[in-house]
Formats: sequence, structure tokens, C-alpha cells
Amino acid sequence: MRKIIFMIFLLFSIAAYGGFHLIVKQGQKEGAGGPVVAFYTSAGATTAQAPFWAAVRTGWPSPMTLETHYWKDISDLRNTMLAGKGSVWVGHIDGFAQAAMKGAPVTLVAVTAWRKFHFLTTDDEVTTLKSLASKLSASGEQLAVAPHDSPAFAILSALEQQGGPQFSLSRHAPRQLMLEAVRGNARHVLVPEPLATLLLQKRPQFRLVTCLEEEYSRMTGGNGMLPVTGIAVHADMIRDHPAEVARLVSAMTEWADKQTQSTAADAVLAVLPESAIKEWGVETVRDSITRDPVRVVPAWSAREDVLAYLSVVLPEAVGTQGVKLPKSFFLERR
Amino acid sequence: MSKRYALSYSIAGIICVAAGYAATHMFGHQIAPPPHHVMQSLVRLALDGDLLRELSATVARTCGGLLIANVCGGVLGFCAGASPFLLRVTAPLVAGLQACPHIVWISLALVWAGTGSAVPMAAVVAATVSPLFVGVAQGVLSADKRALVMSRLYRVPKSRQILKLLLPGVFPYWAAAFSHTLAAGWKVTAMAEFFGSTEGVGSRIFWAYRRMEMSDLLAWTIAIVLLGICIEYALAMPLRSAAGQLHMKGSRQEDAFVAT
Repeated sequence: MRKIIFMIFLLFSIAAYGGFHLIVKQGQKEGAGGPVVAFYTSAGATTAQAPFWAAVRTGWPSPMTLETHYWKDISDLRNTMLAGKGSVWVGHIDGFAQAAMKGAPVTLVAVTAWRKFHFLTTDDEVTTLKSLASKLSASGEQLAVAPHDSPAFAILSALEQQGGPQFSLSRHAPRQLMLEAVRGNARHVLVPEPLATLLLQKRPQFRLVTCLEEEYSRMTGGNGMLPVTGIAVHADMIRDHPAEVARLVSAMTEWADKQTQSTAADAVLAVLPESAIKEWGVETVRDSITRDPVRVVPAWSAREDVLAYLSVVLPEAVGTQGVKLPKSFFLERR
Repeated sequence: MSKRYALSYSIAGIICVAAGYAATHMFGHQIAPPPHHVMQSLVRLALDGDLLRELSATVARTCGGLLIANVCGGVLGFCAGASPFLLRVTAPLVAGLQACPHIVWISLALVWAGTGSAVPMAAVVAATVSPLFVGVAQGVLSADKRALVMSRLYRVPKSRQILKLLLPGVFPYWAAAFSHTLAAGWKVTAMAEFFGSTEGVGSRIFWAYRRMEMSDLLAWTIAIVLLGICIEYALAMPLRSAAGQLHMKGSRQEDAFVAT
């Protein structure tokens, strides 16, 4: 019995240490002085989060305190938004729309990433999307797509409905697909930037076939860009700190407007946090920017593009029965 | 530790290491890093302080969840054991709770509470409250009714009846249920952290998987398996054996009472 009591004491001592650590961490977040802006982002995001960090470089959100959290995947981000946690989020536009339709207090402030998905192949005979589809159909192979919940699936399906080629698809986690590709098990892939660049660097046999957004625009008419990713803020933040939200949007837009093709890569590398650069490496981020342009459009200006995009990837939000998104989904110009 | 145990543990360890090298040979370094790489990662995590910090966060959440489950399960089980009507009402609810997979509670907690400590603690409570409830209710039901009647006849105070008659009778059942929940609790915590937390071993396993850092993934796995083995051998098993002994002792006393 004495041994059991000692073990329970030991277990509770470890638990007390862990609990103390968790409480201190929570206390640091809450007692950091003044209101806290909780920023939820993905460690792997590049062009999608760079404008936000550029705004932070200008002093935003001072006098408020900024704390950064990393979401694990789209579901994690959606749950965070539904629980009302966080002040600013970086994520897929369709994820924001889905959360907003379920009552999450989400308002889109700007679209920050427009050209993400690229088809890569190791087959020299493949030069177009059509030839890729024919090759896959003839060999019975599947097109490997990452991540599991990529909006690319919906865009591909829309392409197919418009008379585009049909693909047999397999879903993968990004790093899992990278390993498969490097080992030669995945020969035809559809992946977002900067994973596409990383694959091109890791396996030189890979070639870029085309960009999904460009193919979609070719079929439907457009400028080769789709509003894939953006930045949204909590409705409370718009109510309590409207000037700060306006300052964020203008700082992001000004920074992006200043960039040219030759300056974008260095500008992104200069503002991205260490964690994002570590995730991919400097050279990968630099090369990736050549295919993934820096462009920030405020929500009020991107409204039509976003609605058209959502009608493809999230028909339950924008379908034949009209727009089901709450009015507050798009930030209004002040 | 006896020589016999030392030998069997050494053989088990050698089998694990050999299996690790065999996996490296079969799948390659990237997918299955050799055991010495994994051990290097484990040592690095220990020296950085990450290992103790994350393990203790997981243990804290498990203990927090178990504490809440013990209070709820204990009080409800005690009341249900004392009142047949309440037992009939709560039995189907507890059966339903027991049948519900842990992942359902984790998913619901993720939606309701977002990320953080609430998710793993809620999952532990949901997963462990029913065995504790059943254990305590069973303990109360199996209390010596004749001794209780006699104590009432002799007007023994209620508090003394509970302390001297009911609680000693309930303890072996509670201890058995508690040892079971102790062994299961940390696994539920790690799973919940994997999905919905930024701290704890489960969360670190997620990031190692996400980044395909296989050495770290296996190092965290070893850490949590060792934690489970320690809890099982140093706490759950002795608790179960103590509960068994107390139960036997109680039965013998009851037999002696009936004989007299």
C-alpha cells in the first residue's frame, strides 16, 4: 500500500508540474498586457500569411499584443473558428465560408493567395492536362493530390463538368506524398505551392505541367487566378477595434502593391517568421514565389471573385438558390 | 527485480531493437529510422526539456480528467447504488456512454471547446466516468446489508455507517475501476491531444507525423509507451492486486459473520 501511495504522489507531482506549466502558459497569453490579438496560421503558409507579417512589421497591432498559434489542418482551423477562438485567421476561403455558414463569427478581410495548385509529372510525354489525363487513364495510375481536404478536388470536379479531362484521384498528406514522390511511387501529382517547388527540387525528374487555376480560367474565362486563401478576422474585433482592422487591410495591401516580380521573393523572405522559413527552406520559398504571386485584394473588392469561386468549391454557400453566406462575411469598405 | 524478470525484459528489449533494424532494412531510413537514431532523438528531447514538459502536460490533463470523472462517477455511483430507482434510470445512460467511441467525444469537444486542455480532459471524463460509476454502484450494492441493518438497529450515526461499513466495502470495487481508468486515461488524452491541442505528447506526435520526422515520431511513441508501462506496472497492477486482496478479506469477514 505504501508503494501505491508513493506512486500516486509521484504521478500527481508530475501532473502538478505539467498543470503549472499549462497554467503559466495560459497566464502569459492572458496577462500579456492589454487586449491580445490571437493569430491562427499554418506553419507552412507562405504568400498566404506574408502580408499579415508585413503589416506586423509596420507596428500592427500595437498597442495590442500579438500571439501566434498554428492550426494543424483545415478541420482544426474550422473547429477553432466555430469555438470562437482567435482574432485573426489565415486559411482557405471555402473553410471560412463553411464556418461562417455554421455561425462562426468570421469576416473575410482580404484574399492573399491566388495561384496555388500545380500539376507535376515525371513523364516526358506529358505536356498538357489532356495528355496527363490520357496517360493516367492508359496506365491505370491515379493522380496523387495533397492535402486530403484540398479545394483542388472541387476545382478538378468543376473542370470535368465543363468538359475538361477526368482523373482518378488519390488523397495524401503533404509530407507523405513528398516521400512517396521522392521514392518514385508517385509519378503524377497535383500539389500546392510551396510543396510543388520542394518536389521539383527534391526529385529533378519532376516537371511542371500546368497550373490548375490557369486551366480552370482557360475553360471558364478568367485571369488565371482564383481566390484560394485569405485572412479573416473575428466579428468582435471588427466591432471593438474597427480602426485596427482597417489599418491591417491597408498595411497588407500597400505592402503587396509595392512588390514586383523581382522583389517579391526577397520581400516575402524578409517578413515571414522563422518557423515558416524552417518548414520549407529559403531556396524553396524563393523559387516558389515565382509561381505563387504576391497579391492582396481587400474583401470588398474581391467579393465577386470569391462568390464565383465558392459557387465552384462550396455550392451550398453560393448555389442556384442564391448566396447563403451571412452578410457580415465580407468586410465592408469604411 | 528478480533475475527472471530482468532476463525476460532484456529479451523483450532485444526483440524490439531487432525489429526496429529489420524495419529499417525493409522500408529504408526515411520511413523507419534505425533504433539508434530514434534513441538519439529521445535523448535530445529529454535534454531540451521537451520530454518532461510535454509528458507532464499529458499527465496533468489525464489526472484532471480522472479527478472530475472520479467525483462525478463516485457521487453518482454511490447514489445509484443506494437507490434502486436511480440505478434503473441511470443504467441505460451509462450503458450508452460506455458504448460511445472516444472519438465521438473528442470530435464534439473539438467543436464545442476548440483547441486546448478542455478537449483531452473532456474526452478522459467521458471515457472513464462510466467504469467508475459502475464500480462504485457495484460496491455499494454488494455492501453487507445485514451489518447495515444491525447498525441501524443500534442507532449507529449515518456518518459512521458510511465511513466504517459502506466505504470499506466500496473501496475494492472503486480501486479496480480506478486502475482500469488509469491505464486507459492517458491513451485517450494522447489521442485527444493529437486532434485538438497544441501541447502534450499527442500534439507532438501529430507534428512529427505532419512533418514526417519519423525519428521524433518514434521517440515520442517510446516515451508515451514507457509512461503507460510505468503506470501499468507501478500503479494499476498493484492497485488491482490490493483491490483483490481487500475483496477477499471482506468476503472472509462476511463468511465469518454468517458462521457466527
